[in-house]
Amino acid sequence: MSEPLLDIDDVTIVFPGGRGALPWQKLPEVRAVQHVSLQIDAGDTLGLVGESGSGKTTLGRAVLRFLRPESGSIRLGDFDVTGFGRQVPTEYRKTVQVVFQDPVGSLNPSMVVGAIIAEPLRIHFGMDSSAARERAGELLEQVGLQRHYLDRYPHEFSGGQRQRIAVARALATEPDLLVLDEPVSALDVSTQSQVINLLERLQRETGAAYLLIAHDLAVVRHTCHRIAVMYHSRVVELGESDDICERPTHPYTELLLASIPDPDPAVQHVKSQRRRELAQGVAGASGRAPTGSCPFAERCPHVMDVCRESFPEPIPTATGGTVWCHLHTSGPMLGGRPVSELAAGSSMAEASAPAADG
Amino acid sequence: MSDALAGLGGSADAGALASPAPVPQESAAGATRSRFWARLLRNKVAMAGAIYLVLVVIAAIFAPLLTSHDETFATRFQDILFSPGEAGYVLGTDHVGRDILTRIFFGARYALIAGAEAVLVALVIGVPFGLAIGYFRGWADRIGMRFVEIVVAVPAVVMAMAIITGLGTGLTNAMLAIGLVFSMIITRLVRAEVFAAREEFYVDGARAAGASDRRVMWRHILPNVAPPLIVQTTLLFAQAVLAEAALSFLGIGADASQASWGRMLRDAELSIDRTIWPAIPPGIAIFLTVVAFNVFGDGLRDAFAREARGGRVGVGDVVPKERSAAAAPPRPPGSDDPLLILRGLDIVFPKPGEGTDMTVVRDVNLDIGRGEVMALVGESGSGKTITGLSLMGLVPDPGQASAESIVLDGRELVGMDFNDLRWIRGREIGIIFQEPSAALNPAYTVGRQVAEPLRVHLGMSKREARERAIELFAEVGIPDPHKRIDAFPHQFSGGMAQRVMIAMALSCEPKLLIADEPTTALDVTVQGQMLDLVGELARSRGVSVLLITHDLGVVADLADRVAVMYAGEIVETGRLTDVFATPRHPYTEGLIAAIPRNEPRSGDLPTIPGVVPPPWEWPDRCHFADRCPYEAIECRRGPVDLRQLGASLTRCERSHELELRGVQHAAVVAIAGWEQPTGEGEPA
Ligand SMILES: Nc1ncnc2c1ncn2[C@@H]1O[C@H](COP(=O)(O)OP(=O)(O)O)[C@@H](O)[C@H]1O
Ligand SMILES: Nc1ncnc2c1ncn2[C@@H]1O[C@H](COP(=O)(O)OP(=O)(O)O)[C@@H](O)[C@H]1O
Ligand code: SF4
Ligand code: SF4
Ligand SMILES: [Mg+2]
Ligand SMILES: [Mg+2]
Repeated sequence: MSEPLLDIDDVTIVFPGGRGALPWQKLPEVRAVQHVSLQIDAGDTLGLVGESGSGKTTLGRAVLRFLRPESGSIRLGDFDVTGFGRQVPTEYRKTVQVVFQDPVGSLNPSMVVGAIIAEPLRIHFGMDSSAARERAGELLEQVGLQRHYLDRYPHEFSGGQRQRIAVARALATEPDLLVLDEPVSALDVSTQSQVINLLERLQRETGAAYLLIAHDLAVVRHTCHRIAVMYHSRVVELGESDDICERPTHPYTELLLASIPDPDPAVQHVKSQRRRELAQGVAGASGRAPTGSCPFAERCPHVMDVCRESFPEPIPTATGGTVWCHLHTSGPMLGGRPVSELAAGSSMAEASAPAADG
Repeated sequence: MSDALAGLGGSADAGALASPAPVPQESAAGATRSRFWARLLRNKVAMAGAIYLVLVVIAAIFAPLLTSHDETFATRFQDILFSPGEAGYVLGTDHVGRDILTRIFFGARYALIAGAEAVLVALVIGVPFGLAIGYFRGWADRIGMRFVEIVVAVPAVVMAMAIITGLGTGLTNAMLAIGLVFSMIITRLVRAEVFAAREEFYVDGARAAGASDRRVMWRHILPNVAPPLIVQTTLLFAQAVLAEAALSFLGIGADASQASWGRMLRDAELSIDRTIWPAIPPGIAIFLTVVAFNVFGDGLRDAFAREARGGRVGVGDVVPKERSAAAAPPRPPGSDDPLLILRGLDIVFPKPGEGTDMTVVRDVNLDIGRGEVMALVGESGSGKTITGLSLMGLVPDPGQASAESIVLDGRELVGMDFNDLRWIRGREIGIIFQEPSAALNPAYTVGRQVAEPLRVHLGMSKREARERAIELFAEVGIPDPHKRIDAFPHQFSGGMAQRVMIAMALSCEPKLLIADEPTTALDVTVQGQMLDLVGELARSRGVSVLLITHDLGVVADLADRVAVMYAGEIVETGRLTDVFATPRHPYTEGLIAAIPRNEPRSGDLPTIPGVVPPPWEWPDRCHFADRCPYEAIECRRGPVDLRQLGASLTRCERSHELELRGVQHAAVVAIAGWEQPTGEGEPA
């Protein structure tokens, strides 16, 4: 296989602590992303899932070169992204584009749609205003909106339509990579599917690769070829979508899957019981990312002593993915087999799972 | 009721709208975009200020034409003539015989020129400076702000005097000095606004699009900083006029040949032992001008502020509506002794761009049993939130809600005295919102916010309320309640903040809990725990829950019964198992098909094509017709009523002949026509 389009290699991103309320106070630094390596092939889609605060957005922003990693390297095509100085080459801005979650905040409220889409066209292709307008109209049609919307303001559109406009703007530069940071999380279920279908169609048409950040595994599964699961600054599992969603090898992935509610009340009744069995501690109450242990240890029903002593090494899974979990090398020695082979909520979990808080 | 609406349905003209509709008392004018002006024009005080300022501008521009006297020389009637009205001198003359009225007119010139100079200097320096330090932050910001703080700490006039010592006296120098001081205020304002705007995604979007820093600052950030800047500029204008007067009075502003109002005060002082009259007209002129700028600035601020908050400043209650003469609609299925009975809820808003009303919720009936979880589902824009808010008496301005009846635990709420209502609602209905962080006040500890209703409604002492708040925190699963109670909202994660909201809503042991998208903003694993918590409340405490959501998975987890809402109407309602297994309305089927499930798939995700149309585009017939794959001729006859089918109620002409697929068939539904991707240009 040829070189991947995007190569994120052992990236760690640290936010400096900043100042506290008092001048001499210094807040501790935040290790938002630790030792993450990911690749995306041209025209491919990688899903990045995980709870809020796990570092997904931060990683995406590093790819966009809005911030610089503390260590590790990012390469996109011929660009050595981590090697850029203060000025990011315009050519790079053309190569990678972004769509944000918030359909309200992501479009400048004081510009008409035409001006919003025309901006990158004028910057990168030097188009004059009539050419840019013509192209902006085409782009609007490509994302399923009408050309005459060019003269309207963002507030005149629904959430789904605004996301379409944001996609049109992102596609204007004909990028190789699109960072999609929770592009459908704020939308209705029915609208979500519309936007996802649109993104898939556009990928077939333009060949752009996607880094799709989301927290809904069901949405990601349908869209992505591969999925990376992040928890608290680390990637903990990586693999083909169907494998991750059918045969998870990491306890957090398993919990995530059990937590997706199913609309069939009978199915959901069973599922919610499973979810309760798996859920330990208090979700969403995480403090700072640990450096030398498994970040999921506080909530893991299978936690062992070794989990608090070191972060696991990557283990290849039976289905060709990678997992970072001690279960595969210690205790039950799963060796890459799905975590469902363990009896969930088994006695070894009970003793040592204190409620977590941050 | 249905009579009125039938008439409304039959003809779309404005006349029909106006006649029998029992609702609006005050039809609030204005469109979303022109609301700003409408609000400003309605503000009488601000308008009085504006009119006065227009007069001042006219006086300033046409001063030489308005009077036959000269600005400086009128020495024929010397200082003897203090009495107004004689010899064509309307306000008399001063101690050297100059016409006071003339000097007031010319004084307006100096006041405006001086104000404009100061404000201009302030903007020219303050805007770029504030943009730069707000945008780049870091050391530039730290040094810049230290400087700004020092300058702002000293009163403007004192600072100006110090600067004038260096520059020399004279009106322009004085205003330059004032402008320098003001520029610090502008800097601080712009910086703060830029800080806020920088967090907006559109700024990142522009950067990603390749826009240079300069372009981002001037083109993307500045226009959105404009409203507070305009307000501040207006207020600074008032201060500049005052400063000019003060400095001229002190003799370091306007010189003797310039008829500034401050200078007039200074001159009047020379003859103060004989009469104070020459001081009065300029004094009044200064006073009125400063006040006018201030009230106008405040008016602008109000108008902008309401704009920013989408008009959610005032809230209104549900007003009574006459019972419809037509046959009673079928009762929503449910228990025999429901806790809440809502009948005939209508909500209207003024249509954007026009004064006419649009109905956003129409004839909603709901029964919620005791200890029952009732789910209200539908896409956004269906009217779910506003329905929930109206039960709380929190209909946002300028909305108007009316209902035939809202019975809570046997008591009729519609038409009840406002204060009684407040009381009942505070105790018996709790509400939680989608964004817990937005609903908590960042300035107070969470403990205080939870204790507040306990003290108001249950008359607890401070100690008791605190103890109870700690208990509540423990009950909703917040670890370390003793410690966490003294934390501030920002110290909580989303899930924890939502628990605080629930604790707050439960504090007075309400009988009904309205949960508006309580888990939409949360992670799925957090959502699971939140659902367990709410379910537990209903099951073990008998709290009834109105669960508003668009996620059918959440509904399946928690609800006993379901009402599906589309475009302002309930289109289907029944028991959860009935509705989800055998939906009776095509919209319900579409919602079920569209939910992404953890299953393998092929082809496009099924969707409901198109979007919920805005209320003014809702047709007089089935609201769903434009998006419905089963639409046929019989659907075009007129409004569709709710009717009983099986154990559910449905609002569909064809429901009896359609074989709609429920959750068990979701994987197959792709075939049913839901797959066609969106109403967009081309098929995939
Ligand atoms: N600008 C910042 N300064 C300091 N900490 C930050 C900043 N941005 C994000 N963080 C922290 O980094 C972590 C990861 O955040 P983020 O990447 O936004 O997560 P996600 O997108 O997965 O929700 C969080 O703990 C967050 O508080
Ligand atoms: N403050 C408001 N001003 C004007 N219209 C409003 C306001 N709030 C709600 N509406 C109207 O009511 C409709 C329903 O809104 P809402 O209750 O928020 O729906 P949902 O909660 O189902 O998304 C909206 O489409 C909008 O037209
Ligand atoms: S078993 Fe250990 S390493 Fe694996 S997820 Fe649980 S705590 Fe982490
Ligand atoms: S009435 Fe007709 S258009 Fe409306 S939902 Fe039923 S079948 Fe569809
Ligand atoms: Mg994020
Ligand atoms: Mg809502």
